[in-house]
Amino acid sequence: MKLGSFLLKRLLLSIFVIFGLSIIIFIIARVVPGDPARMALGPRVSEEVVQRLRHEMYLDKPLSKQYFYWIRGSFSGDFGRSLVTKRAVSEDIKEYLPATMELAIFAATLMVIFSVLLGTLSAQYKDTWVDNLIRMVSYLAMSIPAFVSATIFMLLFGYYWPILPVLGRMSPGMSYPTSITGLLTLDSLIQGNFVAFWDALKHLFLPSVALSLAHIFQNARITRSSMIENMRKDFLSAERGYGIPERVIMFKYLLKPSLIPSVSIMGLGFGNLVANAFLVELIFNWPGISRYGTNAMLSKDLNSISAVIMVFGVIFVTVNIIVDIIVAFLDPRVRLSTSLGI
Amino acid sequence: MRNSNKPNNLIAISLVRPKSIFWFNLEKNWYKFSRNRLSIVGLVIVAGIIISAIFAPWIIPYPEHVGPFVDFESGAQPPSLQHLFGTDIIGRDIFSRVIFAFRGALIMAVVVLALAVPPGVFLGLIAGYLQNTWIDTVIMRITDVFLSIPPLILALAIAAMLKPTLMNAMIAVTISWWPWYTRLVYGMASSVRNEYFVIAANLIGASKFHILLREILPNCLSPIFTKMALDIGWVILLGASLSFLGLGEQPPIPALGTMLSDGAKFMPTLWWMSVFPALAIVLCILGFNLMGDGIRDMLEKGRE
Amino acid sequence: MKTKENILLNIKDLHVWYRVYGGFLKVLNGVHLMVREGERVGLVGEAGCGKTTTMKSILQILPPGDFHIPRGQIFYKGQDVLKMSFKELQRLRSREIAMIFQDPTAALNPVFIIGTQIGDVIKYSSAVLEENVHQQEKIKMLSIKTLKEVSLPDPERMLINYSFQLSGGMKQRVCIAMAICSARNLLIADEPGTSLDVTIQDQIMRLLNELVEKRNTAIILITHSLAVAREMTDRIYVMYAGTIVETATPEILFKNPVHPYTKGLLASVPKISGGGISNGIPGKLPSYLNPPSGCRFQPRCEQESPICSEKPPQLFEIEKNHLVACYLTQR
Repeated sequence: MKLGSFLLKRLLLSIFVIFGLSIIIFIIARVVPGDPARMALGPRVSEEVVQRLRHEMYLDKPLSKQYFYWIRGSFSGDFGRSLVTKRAVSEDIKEYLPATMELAIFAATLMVIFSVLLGTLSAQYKDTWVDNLIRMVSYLAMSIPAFVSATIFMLLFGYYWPILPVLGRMSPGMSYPTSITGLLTLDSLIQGNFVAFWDALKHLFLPSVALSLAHIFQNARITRSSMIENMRKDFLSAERGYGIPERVIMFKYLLKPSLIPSVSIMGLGFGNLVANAFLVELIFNWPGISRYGTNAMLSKDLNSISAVIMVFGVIFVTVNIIVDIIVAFLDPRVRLSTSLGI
Repeated sequence: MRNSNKPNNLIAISLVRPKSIFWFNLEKNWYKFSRNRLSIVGLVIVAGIIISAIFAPWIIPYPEHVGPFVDFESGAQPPSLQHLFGTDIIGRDIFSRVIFAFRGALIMAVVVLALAVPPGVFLGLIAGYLQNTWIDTVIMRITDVFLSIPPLILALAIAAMLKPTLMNAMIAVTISWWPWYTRLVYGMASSVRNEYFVIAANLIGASKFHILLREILPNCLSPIFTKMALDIGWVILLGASLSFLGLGEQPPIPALGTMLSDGAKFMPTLWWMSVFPALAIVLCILGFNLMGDGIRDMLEKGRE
Repeated sequence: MKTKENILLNIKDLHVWYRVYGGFLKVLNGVHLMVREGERVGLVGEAGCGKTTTMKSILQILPPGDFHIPRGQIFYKGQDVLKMSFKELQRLRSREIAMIFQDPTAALNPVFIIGTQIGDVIKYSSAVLEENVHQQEKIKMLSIKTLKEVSLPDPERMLINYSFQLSGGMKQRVCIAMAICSARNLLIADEPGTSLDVTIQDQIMRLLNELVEKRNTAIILITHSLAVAREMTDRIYVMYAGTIVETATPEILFKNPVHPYTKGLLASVPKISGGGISNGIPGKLPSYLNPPSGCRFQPRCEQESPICSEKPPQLFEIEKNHLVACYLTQR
């Protein structure tokens, strides 16, 4: 079946990509000037201790062997030890990753819902004040980087209108629900702890909006232009002429083909969301992997950096595969056509 | 033998000459650009930024504040007639520093694109023309690997590994940026190479080099320029993100992101320290985005 | 034949303008067209003369927002379509009239299977009549029955196909199937089969003929082929640049064409019996942005009189069942 071979090809490609990524990360990490062992222990420690750490980190072995050890370790989840937190990197990741995922997923949900809504509105009321207003706001919103909107939100909601919390994931003094998925909102829902759920949601709101703002409007524009292009197509006039009611035409026959270009862009956008989470987490004091990764990068904590980038790479590649599946689901021509493009 | 190909080359060349076409049609292109009033707004903003950046050392009211300068007495002043954007903690005039910071942003945009686009385009051309050979596979797989990380993360990682300077930040962004052009040009080159005029040129005996440069490339130029115009905004954004984290232009030389992160510590009382750099970033990106839209309208065919 | 005297469709003095940058394209400039119950009417004219625009106006499916109808009425069973409420328009589209588009590839939605599309047509055209076909089974049954009627092989498998998996002829048949589901009284066939090769076109024409006879539906057949019009219609309208220039039954029209344009058209058809290929009609369609103020054919007409450039001529009955819009023929 064509769909199966299509997916298989994508999967193989992705595995290759992840391997290539690991090589690149490794090269970058090892090519860095400076001695990571010395930097970790500080200038006052004796040379012997540093030498021992070097040996422990395999820094005295040839590069290819180092790579081999690293890859082997990552298969079993062992990424070495962080020189900053002094514990296994995999532990660090386990602790911090869910927070970032929660943020990214919520932001992505906002992105999907609102961009489709705004895009459809603009297309429906094309060239009216609704459309023009959304267009103006889009131009502005697309030019605001996530960290700028985060800073502005901090200013507005942190001090002038404290209606929403701006720091951390939960209010101080609240007890965290027991961790099942690591996503605070889901966990508290599952356990029926509505107080915690509401608190977590409130904390989640502002960072997610700051993160997704630019993307919402960018995708709204794409949805809009895709809808407008399809609105003129003959098959819509034909369907209207056969007597199919307007709302069916709008929500079924127009929406589906128009979503196809949006979905691909939204997939790329998710990668951007995860990347921009770096900065937003810093500002909102969100204990996620991006903040952890940024600190690791600034303190040149090699093991952490490599692991974090690998994790991001895997997430991104996975999301791309999922997006490809969704596009194949929406657009039968991708699934069933005999030539597979690139 | 080569000489006898000359007249045939002329025929092939005459089929496509977009660069000269652009200048001949300047009036028509301007019409297309100016149809959307917002593009003109973008152009004005961009022109303003470029001019103020170039003439910054001469036009800013307090040129010394850009370098090592301390004056605690006039520190933390709100916006006034003397200091349009107020002063920061150390007493430096924020307005002057913001205008000067545009320099770094623009330099980064120019350098990054100048460094990233040619190799990216070149690789894409080769891969597209030699489609379905091992060269194509190798190039595109490597490109895919680089594309699998969001640009910010890759640039961040590279910049963090190297010493934090403007040059290193530019290198980091360049490395994250070239694959997008390769993919863009690959898609176009691989479809253009099946066009009749390419096959014709091949039959005449034109060299591969000629075909790449004179037949295929000119037909890919419009999307490349469009993308470059739109990319300026994104590169500036990326640069600001990096300097926000402290990578890039180091103090005392001002950079927009750095000023924002410095100012954020003193919110909300010294609000002007972060608001004005933020507005400057947004204005800059907005201007380039609007102008980029106009350039796209100008270069894209058949968009009424 | 089965022509009754009841007038089904009556277009009166229809003007349609398209909004573009720089003004209006005044495409239709006073179209008069009439179809009786069960009648087969042909609409002949060159490409770009406004045939499709006229038909789309009947169903009100012109591209949204761009068109403007400054004058005219379209009476269907006595009611003006242009003044119909949304609900009445729905009923018109789903039960009374249907249009078969010229290009079947463009007329089918590429991301839905045929079954969904034809199922929805059936569901919504029956629902209006309160037959309430909601059950999936019944819809499927009716879809298969309709597909069989248009001579499609293996209808069950057709239902799960996408439009790009079908050949041109099959797509056209699917469009016809959807049309006959949603039209009891009037079918509009816009150049059916022109995008297909001649043998398939012939099959499609026969199919249409069969259906129309079996169901006693009226049909407006748009074509640029006079031969097809002659064979398949009871009355022909000749259209030029947004106006009807002549109308008559095929016998009368071919024996005694009056309007210079009709004469030119008929002369342009190469004859097997000899006589060579004619020179055609010099000139081309006028600009719709700035159309001539008088007769729109006047710039290309060989004869001329001063009144031709002043105002457009009205249709004038020159003999029984034969109307012409030309000053030169009025005595």
